[in-house]
Amino acid sequence: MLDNLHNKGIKDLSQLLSDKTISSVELVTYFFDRIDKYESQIHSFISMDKDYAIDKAIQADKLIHSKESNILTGIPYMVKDNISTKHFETTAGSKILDGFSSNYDATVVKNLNEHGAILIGKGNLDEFAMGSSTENSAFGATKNPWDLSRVPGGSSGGPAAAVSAGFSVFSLGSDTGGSIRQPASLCGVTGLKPSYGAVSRYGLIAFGSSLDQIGPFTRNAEDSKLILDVISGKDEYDSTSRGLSLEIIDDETNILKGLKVGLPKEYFSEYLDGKVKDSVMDFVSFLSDQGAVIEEVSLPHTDYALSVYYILAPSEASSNLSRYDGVKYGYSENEVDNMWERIEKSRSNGFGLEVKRRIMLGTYSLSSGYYDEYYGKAEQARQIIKSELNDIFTKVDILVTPTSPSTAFKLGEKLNDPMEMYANDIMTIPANIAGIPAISIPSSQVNGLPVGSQLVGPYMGDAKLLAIANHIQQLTDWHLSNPKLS
Amino acid sequence: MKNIDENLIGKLSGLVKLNLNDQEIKKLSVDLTDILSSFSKLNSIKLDDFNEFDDSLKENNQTREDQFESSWDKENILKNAPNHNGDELFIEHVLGEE
Repeated sequence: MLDNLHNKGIKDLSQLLSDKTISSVELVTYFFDRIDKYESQIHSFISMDKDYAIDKAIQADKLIHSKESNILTGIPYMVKDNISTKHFETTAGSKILDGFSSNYDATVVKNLNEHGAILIGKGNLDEFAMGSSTENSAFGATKNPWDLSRVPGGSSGGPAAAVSAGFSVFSLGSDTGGSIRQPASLCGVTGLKPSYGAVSRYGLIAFGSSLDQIGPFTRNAEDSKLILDVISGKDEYDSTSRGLSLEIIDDETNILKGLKVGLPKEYFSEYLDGKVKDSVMDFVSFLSDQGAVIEEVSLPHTDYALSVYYILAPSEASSNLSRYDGVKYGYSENEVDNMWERIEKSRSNGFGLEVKRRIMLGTYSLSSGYYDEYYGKAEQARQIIKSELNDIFTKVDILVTPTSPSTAFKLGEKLNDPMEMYANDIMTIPANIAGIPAISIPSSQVNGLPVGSQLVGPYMGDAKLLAIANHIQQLTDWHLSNPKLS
Repeated sequence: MKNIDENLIGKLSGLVKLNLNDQEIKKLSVDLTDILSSFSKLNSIKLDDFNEFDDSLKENNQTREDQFESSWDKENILKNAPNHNGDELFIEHVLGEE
Protein backbone atom coordinates (compact mmCIF):
# COMPACT_ATOMS: atom_id res chain seq x y z
CA MET A 1 0.00 0.00 0.00
CA LEU A 2 3.00 2.30 0.44
CA ASP A 3 4.10 1.91 -3.17
CA ASN A 4 3.87 4.71 -5.68
CA LEU A 5 2.14 7.15 -3.36
CA HIS A 6 3.99 9.94 -5.18
CA ASN A 7 1.99 9.11 -8.34
CA LYS A 8 -1.32 9.68 -6.62
CA GLY A 9 -3.35 12.88 -6.63
CA ILE A 10 -4.70 14.71 -3.60
CA LYS A 11 -8.16 13.11 -3.68
CA ASP A 12 -6.75 9.56 -3.71
CA LEU A 13 -4.25 10.31 -0.95
CA SER A 14 -6.91 12.02 1.13
CA GLN A 15 -9.11 8.93 0.75
CA LEU A 16 -6.28 6.66 1.88
CA LEU A 17 -5.78 8.91 4.90
CA SER A 18 -9.44 9.09 5.87
CA ASP A 19 -9.82 5.31 5.38
CA LYS A 20 -6.80 5.00 7.65
CA THR A 21 -5.12 2.82 5.06
CA ILE A 22 -2.11 5.01 5.66
CA SER A 23 -1.40 7.68 8.24
CA SER A 24 -0.13 11.16 7.56
CA VAL A 25 3.08 10.25 9.41
CA GLU A 26 3.56 7.34 6.99
CA LEU A 27 2.78 9.59 4.04
CA VAL A 28 5.23 12.30 5.07
CA THR A 29 7.86 9.66 5.87
CA TYR A 30 7.33 8.13 2.42
CA PHE A 31 8.11 11.44 0.73
CA PHE A 32 11.12 12.10 2.94
CA ASP A 33 12.43 8.61 2.09
CA ARG A 34 12.29 9.60 -1.57
CA ILE A 35 13.97 12.90 -0.77
CA ASP A 36 16.75 11.06 1.09
CA LYS A 37 17.22 8.75 -1.88
CA TYR A 38 17.11 11.17 -4.80
CA GLU A 39 17.27 14.82 -3.72
CA SER A 40 21.08 14.98 -3.73
CA GLN A 41 20.94 14.41 -7.49
CA ILE A 42 18.26 17.04 -8.11
CA HIS A 43 18.68 19.78 -5.49
CA SER A 44 15.08 21.00 -5.60
CA PHE A 45 15.09 22.18 -1.96
CA ILE A 46 16.87 25.10 -0.33
CA SER A 47 15.61 24.05 3.11
CA MET A 48 13.48 21.29 4.59
CA ASP A 49 12.59 20.01 8.05
CA LYS A 50 11.52 16.41 8.53
CA ASP A 51 11.02 16.65 12.31
CA TYR A 52 8.75 19.67 11.89
CA ALA A 53 6.79 17.91 9.16
CA ILE A 54 6.38 14.72 11.20
CA ASP A 55 5.17 16.78 14.14
CA LYS A 56 2.54 18.40 11.90
CA ALA A 57 1.66 14.96 10.52
CA ILE A 58 0.99 13.68 14.04
CA GLN A 59 -1.41 16.59 14.57
CA ALA A 60 -3.00 15.88 11.20
CA ASP A 61 -3.57 12.24 12.11
CA LYS A 62 -5.40 13.34 15.26
CA LEU A 63 -7.71 15.54 13.18
CA ILE A 64 -8.32 12.71 10.74
CA HIS A 65 -9.12 10.27 13.57
CA SER A 66 -11.57 12.70 15.11
CA LYS A 67 -13.12 13.37 11.71
CA GLU A 68 -12.27 17.09 11.88
CA SER A 69 -10.12 16.98 8.76
CA ASN A 70 -10.60 18.15 5.20
CA ILE A 71 -9.21 17.09 1.86
CA LEU A 72 -5.79 18.70 2.39
CA THR A 73 -5.23 17.53 5.96
CA GLY A 74 -2.00 15.59 6.19
CA ILE A 75 -0.89 16.27 2.60
CA PRO A 76 2.78 17.35 2.29
CA TYR A 77 3.71 20.34 0.12
CA MET A 78 6.60 22.64 -0.64
CA VAL A 79 6.71 26.35 -1.57
CA LYS A 80 9.14 28.36 -3.66
CA ASP A 81 11.64 30.17 -1.48
CA ASN A 82 10.36 33.63 -2.42
CA ILE A 83 7.18 32.94 -0.45
CA SER A 84 7.50 34.02 3.19
CA THR A 85 7.20 31.43 5.91
CA LYS A 86 7.63 31.75 9.67
CA HIS A 87 9.16 28.35 10.26
CA PHE A 88 11.58 28.22 7.33
CA GLU A 89 14.03 30.92 6.27
CA THR A 90 13.13 32.81 3.10
CA THR A 91 16.10 33.53 0.84
CA ALA A 92 14.59 34.32 -2.58
CA GLY A 93 17.51 32.22 -3.87
CA SER A 94 19.82 35.10 -3.03
CA LYS A 95 22.89 35.62 -0.88
CA ILE A 96 21.41 38.96 0.16
CA LEU A 97 18.65 37.18 2.09
CA ASP A 98 20.64 34.17 3.29
CA GLY A 99 19.52 33.58 6.87
CA PHE A 100 16.46 35.86 6.65
CA SER A 101 13.62 34.76 8.87
CA SER A 102 10.17 36.18 8.11
CA ASN A 103 7.85 37.36 10.89
CA TYR A 104 4.82 36.03 9.11
CA ASP A 105 3.51 33.39 6.76
CA ALA A 106 2.37 34.49 3.32
CA THR A 107 -1.42 34.41 3.02
CA VAL A 108 -1.23 31.39 0.69
CA VAL A 109 0.83 29.46 3.27
CA LYS A 110 -1.48 30.51 6.10
CA ASN A 111 -4.48 29.28 4.11
CA LEU A 112 -2.90 25.94 3.23
CA ASN A 113 -1.69 25.36 6.78
CA GLU A 114 -5.13 26.18 8.17
CA HIS A 115 -6.50 23.50 5.85
CA GLY A 116 -4.10 20.99 7.36
CA ALA A 117 -1.57 20.72 4.53
CA ILE A 118 1.97 20.07 5.77
CA LEU A 119 4.78 22.36 4.64
CA ILE A 120 7.93 20.27 4.31
CA GLY A 121 10.40 22.75 2.85
CA LYS A 122 11.30 25.63 0.52
CA GLY A 123 12.04 25.24 -3.16
CA ASN A 124 15.02 26.44 -5.15
CA LEU A 125 14.60 29.27 -7.63
CA ASP A 126 16.43 31.69 -9.84
CA GLU A 127 17.51 34.57 -7.63
CA PHE A 128 14.52 36.86 -6.97
CA ALA A 129 12.59 34.84 -9.54
CA MET A 130 14.71 36.30 -12.35
CA GLY A 131 15.51 33.54 -14.78
CA SER A 132 14.23 30.64 -16.83
CA SER A 133 16.51 27.81 -15.71
CA THR A 134 17.05 28.03 -11.91
CA GLU A 135 20.78 28.37 -12.70
CA ASN A 136 20.76 31.88 -11.20
CA SER A 137 20.19 30.58 -7.68
CA ALA A 138 22.89 31.56 -5.19
CA PHE A 139 22.53 28.05 -3.75
CA GLY A 140 23.29 26.03 -6.86
CA ALA A 141 21.23 24.88 -9.82
CA THR A 142 18.37 22.38 -9.70
CA LYS A 143 18.53 19.48 -12.16
CA ASN A 144 15.68 18.22 -14.29
CA PRO A 145 14.46 14.84 -12.95
CA TRP A 146 13.96 13.63 -16.54
CA ASP A 147 17.61 14.27 -17.43
CA LEU A 148 20.04 15.40 -14.77
CA SER A 149 22.23 17.16 -17.33
CA ARG A 150 19.37 19.52 -18.15
CA VAL A 151 17.63 22.43 -16.49
CA PRO A 152 14.20 22.10 -14.86
CA GLY A 153 13.26 25.51 -16.22
CA GLY A 154 12.73 28.57 -14.07
CA SER A 155 12.39 30.49 -12.13
CA SER A 156 10.32 27.99 -10.09
CA GLY A 157 12.61 25.07 -10.98
CA GLY A 158 12.77 23.64 -7.46
CA PRO A 159 8.99 23.38 -6.92
CA ALA A 160 8.49 21.95 -10.42
CA ALA A 161 11.24 19.35 -9.98
CA ALA A 162 9.94 18.41 -6.51
CA VAL A 163 6.51 17.43 -7.84
CA SER A 164 8.04 15.77 -10.91
CA ALA A 165 10.45 13.71 -8.80
CA GLY A 166 7.80 12.78 -6.24
CA PHE A 167 9.19 14.76 -3.31
CA SER A 168 5.90 16.50 -2.52
CA VAL A 169 2.29 16.05 -3.53
CA PHE A 170 2.06 19.62 -4.73
CA SER A 171 4.08 22.81 -4.53
CA LEU A 172 3.60 26.54 -4.98
CA GLY A 173 5.56 28.67 -7.38
CA SER A 174 5.32 32.22 -8.64
CA ASP A 175 4.85 33.33 -12.24
CA THR A 176 5.84 36.78 -13.51
CA GLY A 177 6.66 35.91 -17.14
CA GLY A 178 6.16 32.14 -17.19
CA SER A 179 8.01 30.96 -14.10
CA ILE A 180 5.38 28.35 -13.24
CA ARG A 181 4.29 27.24 -16.69
CA GLN A 182 7.71 26.92 -18.34
CA PRO A 183 9.24 24.70 -15.61
CA ALA A 184 5.97 22.74 -15.49
CA SER A 185 6.39 22.05 -19.20
CA LEU A 186 10.06 21.11 -18.89
CA CYS A 187 9.45 18.86 -15.87
CA GLY A 188 6.28 17.16 -17.13
CA VAL A 189 3.87 18.42 -14.46
CA THR A 190 0.78 20.65 -14.41
CA GLY A 191 1.44 24.31 -13.62
CA LEU A 192 -1.16 27.08 -13.32
CA LYS A 193 -0.76 30.83 -13.42
CA PRO A 194 -4.08 32.18 -12.10
CA SER A 195 -5.70 35.42 -13.23
CA TYR A 196 -3.90 38.45 -11.79
CA GLY A 197 -5.55 39.30 -8.50
CA ALA A 198 -7.03 35.84 -7.93
CA VAL A 199 -4.39 34.96 -5.35
CA SER A 200 -2.98 37.26 -2.69
CA ARG A 201 0.63 38.33 -3.16
CA TYR A 202 1.01 39.16 0.54
CA GLY A 203 4.21 37.45 1.60
CA LEU A 204 5.49 36.94 -1.96
CA ILE A 205 8.83 38.68 -2.33
CA ALA A 206 8.05 41.22 -5.01
CA PHE A 207 9.73 41.09 -8.42
CA GLY A 208 7.29 42.70 -10.91
CA SER A 209 4.27 43.63 -8.86
CA SER A 210 1.87 44.18 -11.77
CA LEU A 211 2.80 40.76 -13.18
CA ASP A 212 3.58 38.44 -10.23
CA GLN A 213 1.08 35.73 -9.32
CA ILE A 214 1.40 32.65 -7.10
CA GLY A 215 0.13 29.34 -8.44
CA PRO A 216 0.32 25.56 -7.93
CA PHE A 217 2.40 22.77 -9.41
CA THR A 218 0.48 19.52 -9.26
CA ARG A 219 0.28 16.11 -10.88
CA ASN A 220 -3.03 17.02 -12.51
CA ALA A 221 -5.54 19.82 -13.10
CA GLU A 222 -8.00 18.42 -10.57
CA ASP A 223 -5.41 19.02 -7.84
CA SER A 224 -4.70 22.50 -9.27
CA LYS A 225 -8.34 23.41 -8.74
CA LEU A 226 -8.31 22.05 -5.18
CA ILE A 227 -5.27 24.15 -4.34
CA LEU A 228 -6.56 27.25 -6.12
CA ASP A 229 -9.78 26.93 -4.11
CA VAL A 230 -7.76 27.29 -0.92
CA ILE A 231 -5.18 29.89 -1.90
CA SER A 232 -7.40 32.26 -3.88
CA GLY A 233 -9.46 35.03 -2.36
CA LYS A 234 -9.61 38.73 -1.65
CA ASP A 235 -7.05 39.58 1.00
CA GLU A 236 -7.05 42.80 3.00
CA TYR A 237 -3.25 42.72 3.00
CA ASP A 238 -3.07 42.81 -0.81
CA SER A 239 -5.10 45.56 -2.37
CA THR A 240 -4.59 44.09 -5.86
CA SER A 241 -6.31 40.85 -4.83
CA ARG A 242 -9.88 40.43 -6.00
CA GLY A 243 -10.57 36.78 -5.29
CA LEU A 244 -11.94 34.40 -7.81
CA SER A 245 -15.28 32.81 -8.32
CA LEU A 246 -14.47 29.14 -8.86
CA GLU A 247 -17.79 28.41 -10.55
CA ILE A 248 -18.86 24.81 -10.44
CA ILE A 249 -18.88 23.30 -13.88
CA ASP A 250 -21.61 20.69 -13.39
CA ASP A 251 -21.03 18.53 -16.34
CA GLU A 252 -17.56 18.38 -17.85
CA THR A 253 -18.48 15.43 -20.07
CA ASN A 254 -19.21 17.54 -23.11
CA ILE A 255 -16.93 20.43 -22.33
CA LEU A 256 -14.74 19.79 -25.39
CA LYS A 257 -17.64 19.39 -27.83
CA GLY A 258 -18.03 22.63 -29.69
CA LEU A 259 -15.30 24.30 -27.64
CA LYS A 260 -13.80 27.05 -29.79
CA VAL A 261 -10.03 26.70 -29.63
CA GLY A 262 -7.86 29.43 -31.10
CA LEU A 263 -4.34 28.67 -32.38
CA PRO A 264 -2.50 31.99 -32.56
CA LYS A 265 -0.28 31.68 -35.61
CA GLU A 266 2.39 33.93 -34.11
CA TYR A 267 3.15 31.23 -31.50
CA PHE A 268 3.88 28.59 -34.17
CA SER A 269 6.63 30.36 -36.06
CA GLU A 270 10.29 29.73 -36.82
CA TYR A 271 11.62 30.05 -33.26
CA LEU A 272 9.56 27.03 -32.18
CA ASP A 273 11.40 23.68 -32.19
CA GLY A 274 9.93 21.53 -34.98
CA LYS A 275 9.38 18.46 -32.81
CA VAL A 276 7.74 20.52 -30.07
CA LYS A 277 5.45 22.00 -32.72
CA ASP A 278 4.51 18.53 -33.99
CA SER A 279 3.84 17.41 -30.45
CA VAL A 280 1.52 20.33 -29.71
CA MET A 281 -0.25 19.86 -33.02
CA ASP A 282 -0.89 16.22 -32.05
CA PHE A 283 -2.47 17.59 -28.86
CA VAL A 284 -4.60 19.93 -30.95
CA SER A 285 -5.65 17.00 -33.15
CA PHE A 286 -6.78 15.16 -30.05
CA LEU A 287 -8.95 18.15 -29.08
CA SER A 288 -10.42 18.21 -32.57
CA ASP A 289 -11.20 14.49 -32.36
CA GLN A 290 -13.12 15.22 -29.15
CA GLY A 291 -15.29 17.75 -30.94
CA ALA A 292 -13.45 21.00 -30.34
CA VAL A 293 -13.58 23.52 -33.16
CA ILE A 294 -10.05 24.57 -34.02
CA GLU A 295 -9.47 27.93 -35.62
CA GLU A 296 -6.30 29.75 -36.54
CA VAL A 297 -6.30 33.24 -35.07
CA SER A 298 -3.88 36.12 -35.16
CA LEU A 299 -2.43 38.16 -32.32
CA PRO A 300 -0.24 40.48 -34.37
CA HIS A 301 1.29 42.33 -31.42
CA THR A 302 2.63 39.13 -29.86
CA ASP A 303 5.99 40.01 -31.36
CA TYR A 304 6.30 43.00 -29.01
CA ALA A 305 5.47 41.10 -25.83
CA LEU A 306 9.05 40.12 -25.02
CA SER A 307 10.21 43.74 -25.34
CA VAL A 308 7.32 45.00 -23.24
CA TYR A 309 8.00 42.47 -20.52
CA TYR A 310 11.74 42.98 -20.39
CA ILE A 311 11.27 46.70 -19.98
CA LEU A 312 8.37 46.66 -17.50
CA ALA A 313 9.44 43.78 -15.24
CA PRO A 314 13.00 45.04 -14.67
CA SER A 315 11.63 48.57 -14.15
CA GLU A 316 9.35 47.34 -11.40
CA ALA A 317 12.13 45.15 -10.03
CA SER A 318 14.57 48.06 -9.84
CA SER A 319 12.12 49.73 -7.48
CA ASN A 320 11.16 46.59 -5.56
CA LEU A 321 14.75 45.57 -4.92
CA SER A 322 15.82 48.97 -3.64
CA ARG A 323 14.75 47.83 -0.16
CA TYR A 324 17.74 45.44 0.06
CA ASP A 325 20.30 47.77 1.56
CA GLY A 326 22.10 45.77 4.24
CA VAL A 327 20.66 48.08 6.93
CA LYS A 328 17.34 46.62 8.02
CA TYR A 329 17.87 42.94 7.22
CA GLY A 330 19.79 40.62 5.00
CA TYR A 331 23.42 40.39 4.01
CA SER A 332 25.46 43.32 5.24
CA GLU A 333 29.06 44.34 4.66
CA ASN A 334 30.76 45.47 7.86
CA GLU A 335 34.05 46.87 6.61
CA VAL A 336 32.60 50.25 5.75
CA ASP A 337 33.15 53.89 6.72
CA ASN A 338 29.67 55.25 6.16
CA MET A 339 26.13 54.14 5.46
CA TRP A 340 26.31 54.66 1.69
CA GLU A 341 29.32 52.40 1.51
CA ARG A 342 27.44 49.78 3.52
CA ILE A 343 24.52 49.97 1.11
CA GLU A 344 26.70 49.78 -2.01
CA LYS A 345 28.92 46.97 -0.84
CA SER A 346 26.04 44.94 0.60
CA ARG A 347 24.07 45.16 -2.62
CA SER A 348 27.07 44.55 -4.85
CA ASN A 349 28.19 41.47 -2.93
CA GLY A 350 24.68 40.24 -2.15
CA PHE A 351 23.12 40.28 -5.62
CA GLY A 352 24.07 37.98 -8.50
CA LEU A 353 24.79 39.14 -12.05
CA GLU A 354 21.33 38.56 -13.52
CA VAL A 355 19.70 40.55 -10.75
CA LYS A 356 22.19 43.38 -11.28
CA ARG A 357 21.53 43.24 -15.02
CA ARG A 358 17.78 43.60 -14.55
CA ILE A 359 18.11 46.35 -11.95
CA MET A 360 20.33 48.31 -14.36
CA LEU A 361 17.97 47.66 -17.30
CA GLY A 362 14.98 48.82 -15.28
CA THR A 363 16.74 51.88 -13.95
CA TYR A 364 17.81 52.92 -17.44
CA SER A 365 14.25 52.45 -18.75
CA LEU A 366 12.88 54.66 -15.99
CA SER A 367 15.56 57.30 -16.01
CA SER A 368 15.10 60.87 -17.09
CA GLY A 369 15.44 61.21 -20.84
CA TYR A 370 14.66 57.56 -21.50
CA TYR A 371 11.38 57.07 -19.61
CA ASP A 372 9.14 57.99 -22.56
CA GLU A 373 11.14 55.97 -25.07
CA TYR A 374 11.18 52.81 -22.99
CA TYR A 375 8.92 52.57 -19.94
CA GLY A 376 6.17 54.86 -21.24
CA LYS A 377 6.14 53.14 -24.62
CA ALA A 378 6.17 49.68 -23.07
CA GLU A 379 3.17 50.57 -20.88
CA GLN A 380 1.25 51.78 -23.92
CA ALA A 381 2.19 48.66 -25.87
CA ARG A 382 1.07 46.59 -22.91
CA GLN A 383 -2.43 48.02 -23.33
CA ILE A 384 -2.49 46.97 -27.00
CA ILE A 385 -1.44 43.41 -26.19
CA LYS A 386 -4.00 43.25 -23.38
CA SER A 387 -6.74 44.61 -25.59
CA GLU A 388 -5.88 42.18 -28.38
CA LEU A 389 -6.03 39.21 -26.03
CA ASN A 390 -9.31 40.37 -24.46
CA ASP A 391 -10.83 40.77 -27.94
CA ILE A 392 -9.79 37.29 -29.06
CA PHE A 393 -11.88 35.73 -26.30
CA THR A 394 -15.01 37.19 -27.88
CA LYS A 395 -14.25 34.88 -30.81
CA VAL A 396 -12.82 31.77 -29.13
CA ASP A 397 -13.18 30.10 -25.72
CA ILE A 398 -9.53 29.32 -25.12
CA LEU A 399 -6.18 29.57 -26.86
CA VAL A 400 -3.81 26.63 -27.19
CA THR A 401 -0.09 27.21 -27.67
CA PRO A 402 3.16 25.48 -26.86
CA THR A 403 4.31 26.47 -23.36
CA SER A 404 7.99 26.65 -24.23
CA PRO A 405 9.79 26.94 -27.59
CA SER A 406 11.88 23.86 -26.75
CA THR A 407 12.20 20.97 -24.36
CA ALA A 408 14.62 21.23 -21.43
CA PHE A 409 18.01 22.55 -22.53
CA LYS A 410 21.41 21.59 -21.14
CA LEU A 411 22.77 23.18 -17.96
CA GLY A 412 25.05 26.06 -18.91
CA GLU A 413 23.82 26.17 -22.51
CA LYS A 414 22.18 29.62 -22.36
CA LEU A 415 23.85 31.23 -19.37
CA ASN A 416 26.11 33.57 -21.31
CA ASP A 417 23.53 35.02 -23.68
CA PRO A 418 20.77 36.89 -21.83
CA MET A 419 18.58 37.36 -24.91
CA GLU A 420 18.71 33.65 -25.71
CA MET A 421 17.63 32.90 -22.15
CA TYR A 422 14.88 35.55 -22.22
CA ALA A 423 13.47 34.04 -25.41
CA ASN A 424 12.38 30.98 -23.40
CA ASP A 425 9.52 33.10 -22.07
CA ILE A 426 8.17 34.09 -25.45
CA MET A 427 5.06 31.87 -25.22
CA THR A 428 4.21 32.59 -21.61
CA ILE A 429 4.79 36.34 -21.22
CA PRO A 430 1.60 37.58 -22.96
CA ALA A 431 -0.65 36.00 -20.31
CA ASN A 432 1.20 37.91 -17.57
CA ILE A 433 1.03 41.16 -19.53
CA ALA A 434 -2.73 40.77 -19.88
CA GLY A 435 -3.31 39.32 -16.39
CA ILE A 436 -5.19 36.33 -17.80
CA PRO A 437 -5.06 32.73 -16.56
CA ALA A 438 -2.93 30.10 -18.27
CA ILE A 439 -2.09 26.50 -17.48
CA SER A 440 0.58 24.17 -18.82
CA ILE A 441 -0.30 20.48 -18.95
CA PRO A 442 1.96 17.63 -20.11
CA SER A 443 0.98 16.67 -23.63
CA SER A 444 3.65 14.22 -24.73
CA GLN A 445 7.42 13.75 -24.95
CA VAL A 446 10.11 14.47 -27.50
CA ASN A 447 13.30 12.39 -27.27
CA GLY A 448 12.30 11.32 -23.77
CA LEU A 449 11.76 14.89 -22.53
CA PRO A 450 8.36 16.30 -21.56
CA VAL A 451 6.46 18.78 -23.71
CA GLY A 452 3.77 21.00 -22.24
CA SER A 453 0.81 22.51 -24.04
CA GLN A 454 -0.47 25.80 -22.73
CA LEU A 455 -4.18 26.58 -22.41
CA VAL A 456 -4.97 30.28 -22.03
CA GLY A 457 -8.34 31.63 -20.94
CA PRO A 458 -10.11 34.96 -20.50
CA TYR A 459 -9.63 37.06 -17.38
CA MET A 460 -11.18 35.33 -14.35
CA GLY A 461 -12.00 32.31 -16.49
CA ASP A 462 -9.83 30.07 -14.30
CA ALA A 463 -12.65 27.65 -13.39
CA LYS A 464 -13.50 26.80 -16.97
CA LEU A 465 -9.83 26.57 -17.95
CA LEU A 466 -9.23 24.08 -15.15
CA ALA A 467 -12.33 22.10 -16.07
CA ILE A 468 -11.13 21.80 -19.67
CA ALA A 469 -7.64 20.74 -18.55
CA ASN A 470 -9.14 18.24 -16.10
CA HIS A 471 -11.38 16.70 -18.74
CA ILE A 472 -8.45 16.34 -21.14
CA GLN A 473 -6.53 14.53 -18.41
CA GLN A 474 -9.48 12.22 -17.73
CA LEU A 475 -9.26 11.11 -21.37
CA THR A 476 -5.47 10.89 -21.71
CA ASP A 477 -2.46 9.64 -19.78
CA TRP A 478 0.26 12.10 -20.76
CA HIS A 479 0.27 13.57 -17.24
CA LEU A 480 0.83 10.13 -15.70
CA SER A 481 4.36 9.67 -17.06
CA ASN A 482 7.21 9.92 -14.57
CA PRO A 483 10.94 10.40 -14.81
CA LYS A 484 13.07 7.34 -14.07
CA LEU A 485 15.23 8.13 -11.06
CA SER A 486 18.01 5.81 -9.94
CA MET B 1 19.73 53.27 -30.67
CA LYS B 2 21.97 54.60 -27.94
CA ASN B 3 25.07 52.63 -27.10
CA ILE B 4 25.03 51.89 -23.39
CA ASP B 5 28.69 52.66 -22.82
CA GLU B 6 30.69 52.01 -19.72
CA ASN B 7 30.38 55.62 -18.53
CA LEU B 8 26.61 55.34 -18.56
CA ILE B 9 26.80 52.01 -16.72
CA GLY B 10 28.93 53.76 -14.11
CA LYS B 11 26.33 56.55 -13.70
CA LEU B 12 23.43 54.10 -13.48
CA SER B 13 25.24 51.94 -10.96
CA GLY B 14 25.65 55.01 -8.77
CA LEU B 15 21.90 55.62 -8.92
CA VAL B 16 21.10 52.10 -7.79
CA LYS B 17 23.92 51.86 -5.27
CA LEU B 18 25.74 49.01 -6.97
CA ASN B 19 29.52 48.96 -6.82
CA LEU B 20 30.36 47.13 -10.06
CA ASN B 21 33.79 45.77 -10.86
CA ASP B 22 35.43 46.37 -14.26
CA GLN B 23 34.39 42.98 -15.61
CA GLU B 24 30.76 43.58 -14.64
CA ILE B 25 30.76 47.06 -16.16
CA LYS B 26 32.10 45.71 -19.46
CA LYS B 27 29.64 42.83 -19.55
CA LEU B 28 26.63 44.94 -18.61
CA SER B 29 27.52 47.55 -21.20
CA VAL B 30 27.43 44.89 -23.92
CA ASP B 31 24.38 43.11 -22.52
CA LEU B 32 22.22 46.21 -22.09
CA THR B 33 23.13 47.49 -25.55
CA ASP B 34 22.15 44.12 -27.07
CA ILE B 35 18.95 43.84 -25.06
CA LEU B 36 17.75 47.38 -25.73
CA SER B 37 18.60 47.24 -29.41
CA SER B 38 16.36 44.22 -29.79
CA PHE B 39 13.56 46.24 -28.21
CA SER B 40 13.77 49.01 -30.80
CA LYS B 41 10.88 47.32 -32.63
CA LEU B 42 8.60 49.06 -30.12
CA ASN B 43 9.26 52.24 -32.09
CA SER B 44 7.36 50.78 -35.04
CA ILE B 45 3.95 50.48 -33.37
CA LYS B 46 1.32 53.16 -33.41
CA LEU B 47 0.61 53.93 -29.80
CA ASP B 48 -1.28 57.22 -29.97
CA ASP B 49 -4.61 55.68 -29.06
CA PHE B 50 -3.28 54.03 -25.94
CA ASN B 51 -2.82 55.74 -22.61
CA GLU B 52 0.12 54.28 -20.71
CA PHE B 53 -1.78 54.60 -17.46
CA ASP B 54 -4.97 53.01 -18.63
CA ASP B 55 -6.16 50.13 -16.52
CA SER B 56 -8.60 47.78 -18.17
CA LEU B 57 -9.88 46.70 -14.78
CA LYS B 58 -10.98 50.28 -14.15
CA GLU B 59 -10.61 49.85 -10.42
CA ASN B 60 -10.20 52.71 -8.03
CA ASN B 61 -7.81 52.63 -5.11
CA GLN B 62 -9.10 50.22 -2.53
CA THR B 63 -8.92 52.08 0.73
CA ARG B 64 -10.06 51.06 4.15
CA GLU B 65 -10.63 52.74 7.47
CA ASP B 66 -7.67 53.04 9.82
CA GLN B 67 -7.59 50.11 12.18
CA PHE B 68 -5.79 50.21 15.51
CA GLU B 69 -4.12 46.95 16.36
CA SER B 70 -0.94 45.72 17.95
CA SER B 71 2.11 45.51 15.77
CA TRP B 72 4.83 42.88 15.97
CA ASP B 73 7.16 43.15 18.94
CA LYS B 74 10.48 44.93 18.47
CA GLU B 75 12.51 41.79 19.02
CA ASN B 76 10.81 40.08 16.11
CA ILE B 77 11.15 43.10 13.86
CA LEU B 78 14.83 43.57 14.64
CA LYS B 79 15.85 39.90 14.68
CA ASN B 80 17.04 40.12 11.08
CA ALA B 81 18.85 43.44 11.47
CA PRO B 82 22.63 43.21 11.11
CA ASN B 83 23.38 45.75 13.85
CA HIS B 84 20.97 46.34 16.67
CA ASN B 85 20.74 46.27 20.44
CA GLY B 86 17.24 44.84 20.62
CA ASP B 87 15.69 48.27 20.73
CA GLU B 88 17.50 50.32 18.14
CA LEU B 89 18.93 49.78 14.70
CA PHE B 90 22.54 50.99 14.29
CA ILE B 91 23.83 52.53 11.09
CA GLU B 92 26.98 54.41 10.22
CA HIS B 93 26.91 58.15 9.83
CA VAL B 94 25.17 59.36 6.70
CA LEU B 95 26.72 62.77 6.27
CA GLY B 96 30.43 63.53 6.27
CA GLU B 97 32.62 63.94 9.36
CA GLU B 98 32.58 67.67 8.91
